[in-house]
Amino acid sequence: MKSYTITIGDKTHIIGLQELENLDRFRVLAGGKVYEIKVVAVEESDAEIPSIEVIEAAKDQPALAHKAPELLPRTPQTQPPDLPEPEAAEELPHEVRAPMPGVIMEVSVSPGAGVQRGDQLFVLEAMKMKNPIRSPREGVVAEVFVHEGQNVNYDDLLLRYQEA
Amino acid sequence: MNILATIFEGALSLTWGQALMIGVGLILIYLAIVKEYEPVLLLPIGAGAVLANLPLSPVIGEEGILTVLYKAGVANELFPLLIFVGIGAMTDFGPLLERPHMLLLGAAGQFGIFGTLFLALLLGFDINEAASIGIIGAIDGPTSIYVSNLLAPHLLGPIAVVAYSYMSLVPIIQPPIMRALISKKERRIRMPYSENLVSRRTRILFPIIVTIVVGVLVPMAIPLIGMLMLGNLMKESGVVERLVGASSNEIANVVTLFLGLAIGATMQAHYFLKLDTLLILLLGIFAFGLDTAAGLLFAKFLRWVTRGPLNPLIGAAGISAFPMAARVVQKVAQEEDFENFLLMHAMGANTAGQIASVVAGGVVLALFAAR
Repeated sequence: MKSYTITIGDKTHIIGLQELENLDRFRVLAGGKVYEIKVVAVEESDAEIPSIEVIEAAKDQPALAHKAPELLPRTPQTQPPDLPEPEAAEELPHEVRAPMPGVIMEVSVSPGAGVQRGDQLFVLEAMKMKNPIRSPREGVVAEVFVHEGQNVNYDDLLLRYQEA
Repeated sequence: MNILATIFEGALSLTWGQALMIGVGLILIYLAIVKEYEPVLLLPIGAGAVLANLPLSPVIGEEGILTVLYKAGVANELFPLLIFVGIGAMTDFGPLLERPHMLLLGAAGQFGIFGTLFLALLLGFDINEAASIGIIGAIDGPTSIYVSNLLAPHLLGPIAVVAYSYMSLVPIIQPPIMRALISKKERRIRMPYSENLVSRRTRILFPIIVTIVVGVLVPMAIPLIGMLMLGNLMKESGVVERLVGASSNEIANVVTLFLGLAIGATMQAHYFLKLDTLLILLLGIFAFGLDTAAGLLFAKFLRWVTRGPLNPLIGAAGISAFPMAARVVQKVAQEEDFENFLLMHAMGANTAGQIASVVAGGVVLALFAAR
């Protein structure tokens, strides 16, 4: 199950989301409860926002954490074996900044995407060389601040992770 | 019978040496097209070699096009110098100006020139030939052509071909040396990005000051450094964009074509098919490796002296081969730690290497040209 931070107005909600076999159905963890939802495309609607139909609110699952641990948001634990370990004492970075000036050639992730340590986030062209910028941690992308073709300076904010 | 002999005169007079050289030319064309090794240079050089070695080829000789090109631009050094204007117009010395101490690494990257020079002397080359061969170590094509044309014009073909071939092999030859000399731990050293914004005034004054200082100290380097810095001055001035565009595109492209063809034409069988060529090939890679190693070891030394965060890998960018060497540094560093970005530091060392190899060329000329 992937976890997402959703901000509506000034309220932040952390939800878990799991795709089910039927492509339009999802299992959602929100407020400590599990729901199964169906995403319904609304025809003749201008905005491409599908409506959501809650099929079945899971009952009697107040203490979800104990009953269904697999539905909890993942915590970074596993490391791909061939990658160097991050410094143990260091806290996970909350954001990714430009390591040098250049042009963003490619944005490889979008908000909501789950990434592993080492996954490519951007391609930054500097001095005519394409440099992959990889994720320093496992996590979920909360926000991407740059678009393709954008010039960035050293230390510009590129991406923010969700805090679980 | 006479008619037949006339018709097949070409085929009959083809020597085995010419056939072999046509083969060499075709290999260069193959490397250019299939492997994309410096195609802009190796393709015209290969074509020149084929054209010059076809039997009874009218492209060489008094009025032959390749001979005309050679006399017009190679014999008098015009073409490599025009290329330097373009290189200057394309080079951003910003990364060097932000880290002036990188000049030391550029200087260290030229050590192999002199090491190879002595080895070449031992192998029986005369002093001028040895000096020309040593310059290959800087992996700076135009400087190699410039120096060898003045000191040992009969070796121009092999030296130019070897220099450009190795230039295209930078990403293959350098990484093993880097991994051998620099420990894994050292390769992981991160260098904080220092952002000292360099003012426009500094950027404009830099090429002027370098030209005057180097010119006074090493007069033989004036043509090389003067053209390089002229191109850079035009770029940084920001007021002659048309000239910058012409220097870095039209002029550079046209001259590269002419230079490549003319160099290819020097690869005639009786000049090229000698033991010397093979020795130059071997000495060239020795010089290249020695330059790389010297840069790396000096960077290690520098780190030991300064005790600062300095990743010795950037020493490998102290050779010329701009900007390929800097990219190789970035790649090798990222194999160990993908969050390590050394590119701008390496670019500083690499542009320093560019200047240093030009100066080294001037020093070599000053030392030996008079003899």
